[in-house]
Amino acid sequence: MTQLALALDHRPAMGEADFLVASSNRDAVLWLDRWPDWPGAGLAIHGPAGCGKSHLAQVWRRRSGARSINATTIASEEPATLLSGCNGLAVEDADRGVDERALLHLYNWTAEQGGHLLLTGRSPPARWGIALPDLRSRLAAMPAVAVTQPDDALFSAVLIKHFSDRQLRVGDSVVHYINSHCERSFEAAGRIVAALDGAALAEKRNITVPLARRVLAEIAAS
Amino acid sequence: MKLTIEREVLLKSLAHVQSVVERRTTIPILSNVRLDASDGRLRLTATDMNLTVAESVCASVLQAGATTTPAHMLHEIVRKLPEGGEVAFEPTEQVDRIVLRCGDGIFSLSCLPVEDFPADFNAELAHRFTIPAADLRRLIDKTRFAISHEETRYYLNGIYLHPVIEPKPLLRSVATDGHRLAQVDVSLPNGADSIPGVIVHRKAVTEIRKLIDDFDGEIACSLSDTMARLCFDSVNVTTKLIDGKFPDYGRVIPAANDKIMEFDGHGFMNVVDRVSTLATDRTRSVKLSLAPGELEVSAISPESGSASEKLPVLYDSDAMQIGFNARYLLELAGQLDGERISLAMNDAASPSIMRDPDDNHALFVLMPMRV
Amino acid sequence: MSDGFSRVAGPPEPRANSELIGHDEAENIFLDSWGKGRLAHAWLITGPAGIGKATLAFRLARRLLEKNAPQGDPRSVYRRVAAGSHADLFTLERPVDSQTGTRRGEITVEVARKVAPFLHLTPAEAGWRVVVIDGAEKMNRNAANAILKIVEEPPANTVILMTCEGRHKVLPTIRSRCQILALRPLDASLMSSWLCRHRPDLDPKQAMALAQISAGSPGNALRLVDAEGLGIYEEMLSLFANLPCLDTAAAHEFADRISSSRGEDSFRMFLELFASWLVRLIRVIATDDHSVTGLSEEDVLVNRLAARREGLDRWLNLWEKAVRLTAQTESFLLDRKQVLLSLFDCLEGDDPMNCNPNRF
Repeated sequence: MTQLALALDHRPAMGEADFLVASSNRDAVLWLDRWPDWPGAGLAIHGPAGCGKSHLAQVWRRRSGARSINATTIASEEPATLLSGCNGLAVEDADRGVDERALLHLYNWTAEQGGHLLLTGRSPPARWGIALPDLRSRLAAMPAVAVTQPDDALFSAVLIKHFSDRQLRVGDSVVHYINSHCERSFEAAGRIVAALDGAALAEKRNITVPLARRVLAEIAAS
Repeated sequence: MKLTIEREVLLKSLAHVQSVVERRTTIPILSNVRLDASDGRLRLTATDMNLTVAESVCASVLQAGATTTPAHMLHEIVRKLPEGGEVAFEPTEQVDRIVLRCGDGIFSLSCLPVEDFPADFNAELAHRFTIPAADLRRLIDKTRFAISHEETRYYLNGIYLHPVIEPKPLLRSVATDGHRLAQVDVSLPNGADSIPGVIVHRKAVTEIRKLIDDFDGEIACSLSDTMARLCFDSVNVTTKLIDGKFPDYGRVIPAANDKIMEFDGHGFMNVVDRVSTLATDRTRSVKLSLAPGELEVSAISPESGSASEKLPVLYDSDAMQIGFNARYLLELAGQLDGERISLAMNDAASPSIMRDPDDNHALFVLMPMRV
Repeated sequence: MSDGFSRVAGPPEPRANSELIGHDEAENIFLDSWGKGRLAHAWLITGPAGIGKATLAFRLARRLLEKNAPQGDPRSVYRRVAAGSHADLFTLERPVDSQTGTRRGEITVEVARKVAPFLHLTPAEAGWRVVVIDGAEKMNRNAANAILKIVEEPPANTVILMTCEGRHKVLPTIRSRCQILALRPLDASLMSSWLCRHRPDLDPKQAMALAQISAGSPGNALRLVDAEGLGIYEEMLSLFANLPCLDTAAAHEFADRISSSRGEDSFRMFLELFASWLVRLIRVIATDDHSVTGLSEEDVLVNRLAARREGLDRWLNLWEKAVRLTAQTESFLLDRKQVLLSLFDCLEGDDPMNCNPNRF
């Protein structure tokens, strides 16, 4: 049995104004809040595409001074070079085509230096089909936290935030309409708001449900 | 500084102030209690730089003066002095020493200058009101168990005290740790209708509660955005506040839970306690299975087996099952004064509300465990 | 009110030092931006050891704490900052070593973790909350990580003042969030007149000589005066007067005396003086600039050694070795006399390879 949590989603006054928490990403956010207090050198965040793993990685990078690298390029440099001038790395898409020896080497090196690794992928590390036993065991020992698709409340909040970033005042009905008719991902939210902004500006119109309906249809068609 | 004072009076006051002092501080003056003697009174002050407790007691002051000396040491010494004794403080030639005499005992104590002691915050605070001690005790007792210990959400590490105007004027305290929430009201004192909501940190709550334990009068409170002060019975407590925004807790209190179960509190607690003995997982979870008129509390543990017990209850909604952390259930139920308890639920993944059906001014929200 | 200076105790602790010399420009930059309402929330004060970085940091802290505060009486603020008992000031610094009474070691994450809870509470006097981090480069990795978030996004009404011996010694992510005040070592004549004010018994020529050999640090200069460092320095120069020849018996006797346990301060002081002499020698050789230090014996020696055209390597190696041994002597309980003799060994003779910097 797992204890469920109350939906108290207010972020503290101190920082992270640009990050919204909801049940879909709360555990991941809590883990990132705890950094550098992780049990080991690594943390894995997994979840479907568009559910905000990259954004989480970015938030962590800004906070920790870590750099970002795609899993396929790990083998191209020595860990010392990859980690020079920073104390951590966010390795994105670690579940796709990573050089296992290079990752093991990188993990060991980072751990020795007292640094941290954040790995992201679409599935938990246990399902990455890692062949190298030493790497498998390190991944098994690493905490792995899931991020799920944003729920209604979070998605609405993200839309509202995108609108307010662009200083656009938009009615509830528009937000509601977009929420019910669009792909539930962070990237999509940004794209749609940008498209709406552009359309409204070009046609000198306010953003209304009819405009949203049209823009969404255009996006779907392209 | 030269004075005499009854041992019991000194001991009682030292006991009040010394628990504020941090035991392991690297800054010497912070281990000390400040003693100010003048005009027939001795004032003792102790602080950890966030919370200050001061008390003024009767003494026979022969020579006014002030100094500071290690708090815990002084407390221990006075505690071990014979009952009924009279304690005398006397200066010495050395500016960093003071002598304590009682009967045949002489103790030479090290001192540090008062100028180094943290300042007394006696600035006027904008909002003032008085509250009966019993009300303040209620506001604390029924919420403090739910204060969060988790440091990342530091704004939950205390009790949120604020005025409520609608539907009626109330002074409310709320605490939550993300799993349970406690909300308790007392009538709003005069002058408290425009106070800012403040979050009082856990240590301050603990110390204040100890200090008001056997006081039964009115406590004079004053508040600003950054400080709170309580004065009563020649004791003065001043504290910093948590600098953060308490979440909009109203949003997590369900308004329409319609599956309501009412039962005898003691009976329920006994059953939960018994059944959960068997549950050895860390959180001691139990499952509540509701059917009209009946509740079954059960627990399963792979190592120890299973337990279940039934209990008659007032319930006429749909059958449902919901899991809870047994310790939370017991703690919440223990907060309710009446014999009967009401638990209002929605479904197995939503917050439930536990309350005394006859008391609208104490409310406890509990999140279930996913079965 | 004591200004923190005492004839007995040597230089005052930065937090208790009410006097700041030679860094008016830096102080004005801070006060100026504060006056214009554009005060940066994080400041990094850089410069070599002992020139007054922490003194400036605490001074700026006092300024902040005196304003907007009902208890802002400057005397009271000064006392409490000096005693470490001001409720709105949190200081992060290396622990005091109980044996030597000086600050040593690292700033660990256990203490760094206390900064956040300090900033989670309101200021006691309704004004600023100040965090002083003295020796930001002494934070170990975990400690630096723990305060990174705070430096990146300090809460309202908070100022963080950090000192550091070199701006590149702190994490780039921290550095990029700070406004930098780069302090320079004090000019010798400024220091010399300051020294004469505080130690009126000093003869002006001696004061100047001390100013020259204390590497721009008033703290060093004062320590040298109080521990009779000038005497040790002059002895050292006469010991070296005939380099590359070294009188072995005299060297042993000197090493014996300096390394005896009573002369605890003398030993470390000698190593500092030796290293700073080497630095001046190296600078002369490297820049070919034969300026006068004020101690004619040093000038003669240095010029003579420079004229031998031996190349920098030898001196650099020796300097490296001296610095390393200084650091190691305490941690590894090396035999002090042997350390000194080993250094003297490298000085002797013509062979530049005589000195292996990696060997004790």
